[in-house]
Amino acid sequence: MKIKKPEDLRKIKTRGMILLSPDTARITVGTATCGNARGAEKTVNAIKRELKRQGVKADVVKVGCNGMCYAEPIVEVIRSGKPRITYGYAGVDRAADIVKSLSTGKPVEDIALLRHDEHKTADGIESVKYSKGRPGRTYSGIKDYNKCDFFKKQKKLVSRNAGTINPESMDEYIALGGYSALAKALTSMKPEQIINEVKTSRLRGRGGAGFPAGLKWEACRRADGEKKYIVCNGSEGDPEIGMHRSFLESDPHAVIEGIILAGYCIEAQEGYIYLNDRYVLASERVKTAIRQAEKIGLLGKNIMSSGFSFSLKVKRGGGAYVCGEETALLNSLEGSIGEPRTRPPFPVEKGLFGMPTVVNNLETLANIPLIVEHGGKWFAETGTPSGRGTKIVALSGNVSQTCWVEVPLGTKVDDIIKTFGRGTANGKRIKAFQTGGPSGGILPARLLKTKLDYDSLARAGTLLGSGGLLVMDEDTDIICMARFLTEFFADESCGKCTSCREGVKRLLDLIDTIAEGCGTEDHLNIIKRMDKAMRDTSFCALGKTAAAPIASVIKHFPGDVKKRMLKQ
Amino acid sequence: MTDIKLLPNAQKMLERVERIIAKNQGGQETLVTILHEVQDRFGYIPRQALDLISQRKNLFLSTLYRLVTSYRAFRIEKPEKHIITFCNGTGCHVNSGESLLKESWATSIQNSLNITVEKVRCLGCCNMSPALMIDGEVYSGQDAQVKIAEILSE
Repeated sequence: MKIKKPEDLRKIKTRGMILLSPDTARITVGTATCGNARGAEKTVNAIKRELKRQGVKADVVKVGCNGMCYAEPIVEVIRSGKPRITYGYAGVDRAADIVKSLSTGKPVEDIALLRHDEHKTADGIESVKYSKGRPGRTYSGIKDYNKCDFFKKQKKLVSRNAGTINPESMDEYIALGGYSALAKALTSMKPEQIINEVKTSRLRGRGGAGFPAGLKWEACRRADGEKKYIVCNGSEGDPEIGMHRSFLESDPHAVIEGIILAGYCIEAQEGYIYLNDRYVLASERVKTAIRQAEKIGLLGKNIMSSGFSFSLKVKRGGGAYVCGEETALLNSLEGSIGEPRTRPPFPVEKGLFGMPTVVNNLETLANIPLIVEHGGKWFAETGTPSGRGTKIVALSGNVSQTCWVEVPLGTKVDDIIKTFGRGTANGKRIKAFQTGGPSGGILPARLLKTKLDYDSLARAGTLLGSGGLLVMDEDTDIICMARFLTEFFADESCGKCTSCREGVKRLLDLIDTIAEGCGTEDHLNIIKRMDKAMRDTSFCALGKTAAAPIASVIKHFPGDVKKRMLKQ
Repeated sequence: MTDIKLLPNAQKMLERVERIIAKNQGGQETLVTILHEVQDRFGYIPRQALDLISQRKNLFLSTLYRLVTSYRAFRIEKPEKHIITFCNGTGCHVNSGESLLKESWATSIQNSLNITVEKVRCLGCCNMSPALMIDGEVYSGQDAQVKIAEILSE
């Protein structure tokens, strides 16, 4: 069946709702990369075996990650009329207990993390009701979802469905309000109107540079070209974050809906999703989602009789960090070496195959359906003046709980580390932190009160980037850390421009000299001058920020540097 | 190509590559996809496959070679029986990923003819940090040590 009008979605919605809270039981297992690494697939099989052995009926469904990567494998049990129970650390050995809880009605208390009486999306529109009436004493020992800090302090707008729906089921996505924004846009909104809403929302790019999405679209819409393209940047090359990967593996349709909407606004006929070469599972799930959307006519010719035709393809990258830069990404899509291009002309004028192209980060695009659905004004209510909306942040390094969360922009870094990461793993003091991947500077603990938004982080000397947050405890050798990050740039420099190609190598030599204890004041001065020179003369952001780690260490950790200097 | 007679299995490999090329019609933009598919099938991109792709796509072999070697994802040498991939991401580095490498009998691994050692920038499972991947499965801590010992004793 092809979808022709918004009402047509309703039938699918009912079908999806039944899947989400069926009359029989539903057992879900988080099978994103983080879950699979901890053996989620084995848990799935063990649960299936146990169901057969104990003679219990239930749907076993693979879902994505709800952000609590530290507690993987995560299993959830939904029984008709009873609260939804989330279990953590559910390895193969716990499968029997979990299945048994279906027949006894008693939850497995020692691994139960949460109970959900109702699942509500953060925009408050859609909900699935699980328990009828009060949950009763059986569940009183399990924390209520709404009272759990981990979720209470988040604002799950973009990632609202992650961990709840089956990423390979379009019906479940539609049940929770999916594709209603697209239906609304194609049947009752003009492209200019949507672009205006996006401008009102003041949505800025979530990939690194933070360029206003509405302006980019407008420029591309105005540009001349017989064909136009929309490219979704899922390169995510930063070496510490996997939240976009996890997000794609959990809710691919959300990104696809955003891409179709963007395509509609700039009048593109074709779109590409460019994925990191290692994102095999994500790419499979996105491909499945594209096929499903094509089947019901949300991709293809004359979508919902609006006269707008659009097709979408997935491309796997070749694994180069620089391909996260938009022009290098376009080169890579064209089958050339991932080297950045000269700008201007900007991609919005001359991009993929020489045609006007919008390149947006996948998180930026996943925000679009929300803006279309609720309006730009509603969206702009969240966040701070320098950054509206939310940001998905991945916490890693020396934290007790590795996780990814979605918080309003403007949340303090300190709060994120304390609330979601539960501080450092062994109770040690935090020495430093880093946002925005290797290109961000290494900041000292006294700047922990910095707000997580574009301008506050820029003032502190780092960047929001794509949302990695790395924590380093007091045992970290900060010079060694700077060397590690500089080595990363030396590895990843594409070699196109001299200042980056040669600069990173010389920086590495200088850091080695300091690390070996032979550094002098002169070495530090050269580094400072090189930082400036590389910022001024490098071709792309990789070279411009390559000296940021060591320069920030010299600035913020003079004590550590001094200890390593040559004693004169 | 030359007149050298190909071994039967090389012939088979080339037929497979030919099919992959036929499936991805078009110009240079199809190259990365073709290379991925060849590597997914054979574990690496054999020299003869590069020859064939360059002929079919009308490219200098040197151009193709430059492309292949510029991307981290592609191997042009046949990997050994086991592939150990160490996560060299920042998160794993902070959690002493390198010491995991050293503790895991780094030299015996390097000297083993059975093992190809690779480093990647992030395995995407920071919850297992420091992590490494052995033949497609992720391991951490004690499990990693046990598994490596197992491979080394083969």
